[in-house]
Amino acid sequence: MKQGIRNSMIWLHTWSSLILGWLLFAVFLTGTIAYFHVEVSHWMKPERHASAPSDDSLQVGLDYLLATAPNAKNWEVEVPDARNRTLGLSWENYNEERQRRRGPRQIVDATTGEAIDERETRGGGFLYRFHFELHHLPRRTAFTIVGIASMMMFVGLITGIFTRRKLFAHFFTFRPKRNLMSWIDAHVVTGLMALPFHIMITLSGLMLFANTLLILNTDDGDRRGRFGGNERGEQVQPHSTLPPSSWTPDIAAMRAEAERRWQSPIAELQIEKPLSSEATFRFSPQDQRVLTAGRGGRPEIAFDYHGNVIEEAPAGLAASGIQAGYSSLRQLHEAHFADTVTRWLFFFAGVLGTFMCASGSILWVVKRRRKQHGQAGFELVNALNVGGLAGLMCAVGAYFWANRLLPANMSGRLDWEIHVFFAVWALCMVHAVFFRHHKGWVTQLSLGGFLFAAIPVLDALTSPVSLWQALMIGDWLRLGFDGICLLFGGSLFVAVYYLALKDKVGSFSLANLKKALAPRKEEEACY
Amino acid sequence: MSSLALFSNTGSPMKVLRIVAAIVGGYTLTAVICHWMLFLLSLEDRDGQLLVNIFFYIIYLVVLMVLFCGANHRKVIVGTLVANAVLWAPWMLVAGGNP
Repeated sequence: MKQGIRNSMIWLHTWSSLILGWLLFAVFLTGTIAYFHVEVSHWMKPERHASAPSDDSLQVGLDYLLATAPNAKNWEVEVPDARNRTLGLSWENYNEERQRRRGPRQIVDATTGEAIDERETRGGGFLYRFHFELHHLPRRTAFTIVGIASMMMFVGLITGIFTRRKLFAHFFTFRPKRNLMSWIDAHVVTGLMALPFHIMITLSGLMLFANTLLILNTDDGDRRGRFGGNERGEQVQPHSTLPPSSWTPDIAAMRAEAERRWQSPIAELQIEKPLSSEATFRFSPQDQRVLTAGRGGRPEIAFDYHGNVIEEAPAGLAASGIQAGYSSLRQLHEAHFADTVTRWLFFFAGVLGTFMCASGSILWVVKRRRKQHGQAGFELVNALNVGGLAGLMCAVGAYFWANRLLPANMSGRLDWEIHVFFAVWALCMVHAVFFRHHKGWVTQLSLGGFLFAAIPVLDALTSPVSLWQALMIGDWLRLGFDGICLLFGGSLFVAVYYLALKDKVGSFSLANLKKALAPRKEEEACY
Repeated sequence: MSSLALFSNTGSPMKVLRIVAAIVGGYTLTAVICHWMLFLLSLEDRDGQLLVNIFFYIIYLVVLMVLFCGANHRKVIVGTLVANAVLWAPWMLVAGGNP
């Protein structure tokens, strides 16, 4: 009976993971990159590269607003932080139609205070959005597809635990150069190493799709706005303003006081009724203190014109344990709270998850190569593996290349970047139909390796700021992106090297297929 | 050997029906379990909704695993239908057809 249950779990694990495995790989890959989507966007907007933040950046932003929107109803300054090297400025004029916020109204160089006229690009936001709403599909349809895939992933993860007889022992097992056994070990180890992360990210992802997937639900469960909300009370009559030379609030002292209270640098300053003696200055910190409070997890402090504290709001608290649990899971998925180290940990866990998805699909093929070679289903999975796994990596690399090679002022370039992504992916899929075995892997991994490994060269040639200057001004966002791409491209070349080595030995050639795929007792017993 | 019927390569209408019963029947079964859970716990609307958002998938996963463990296609299909009927019928009476 025990054997029967284990076989059921193996069956469920295999098919729930395989059917939408390539979509799961795409979701994991783009979702993992999305942890650094702000940094990716920085790289993809080279016009921002010259900006070097300093302690004076806030004043630089205020000077810009003073010159550009002196009669505005309010101002908002997003100061540079660990993930952003430019100033994001927004303002709202009286009797101006209120628009849905999609980031700052103007990006400004944090050093010179000049407006940055950046290229049209979706940047890292495209990859971030792709991982849950795909593209070219109605939003709800995409949510449903990704939601179903996530549920299959959840089933695959938990049933995968039951497929192993000696789970703990397997965690410390890796048998290199053993073909099937090596793939099994790689799949199991990458799954187990970050298993809590995989379960958390899948369950919380499903939770975020509840509005679409659950017929008994009509709410996504988080109506909570930020403290203060968007409704601050409309004022139709413009307020009276002082001459700029007479308006001298000590904003530096207010900032210092806010940072002293929070022990954290400020992230944002909102000024209502600027250039008046009735102005209020509202600060919020970079660190999110309370994970369980969802998006209301940041405290705020407000000062009047003379620097007196007129309002201090602690981070919001969840109303109940259930709401706290829900918010925590949501925050863990979105990782808005994460500092640099935590973000990197999440990123590496995501890389492991991506490799787990890929190795699972490859394992399916490796295991059945002897018996099902030439059968339609087997060949289909083979082609989808090459095009869906290696092809997607080429597409992501091509997206970065398109960002730098398409003319900056080209009309519709934002769409063309995305067209390039899908065109390269489609070409890889077609290529994989004809070359779905060794040759397909070698070709597409080589292309992916080149596209990623050459990113630093592309960056050096197409950015107005040289890599040396970037090093001098401490632009680690850009240099880090280059470094990771180089590392990733290099690892793809290593994979190509091993594939080529195998080809030389002959284990992939038909002549040696029988010998190479000779059954081993160990392998037969494993699955 | 009958427990291995699910894993044979030969497709059969019963096997397909069983898979559909497990997926669709499991979903409706989970939905009614969640209805009962909220009813019995007497939670506020918002808390109840959030609880369902989290636990629906865990319950569905367990239901799926149980339904795929069964050895006999016919038993699983009938079991799913009976379980749905047993839980939905009283729920419709309690909720007055307004779940």
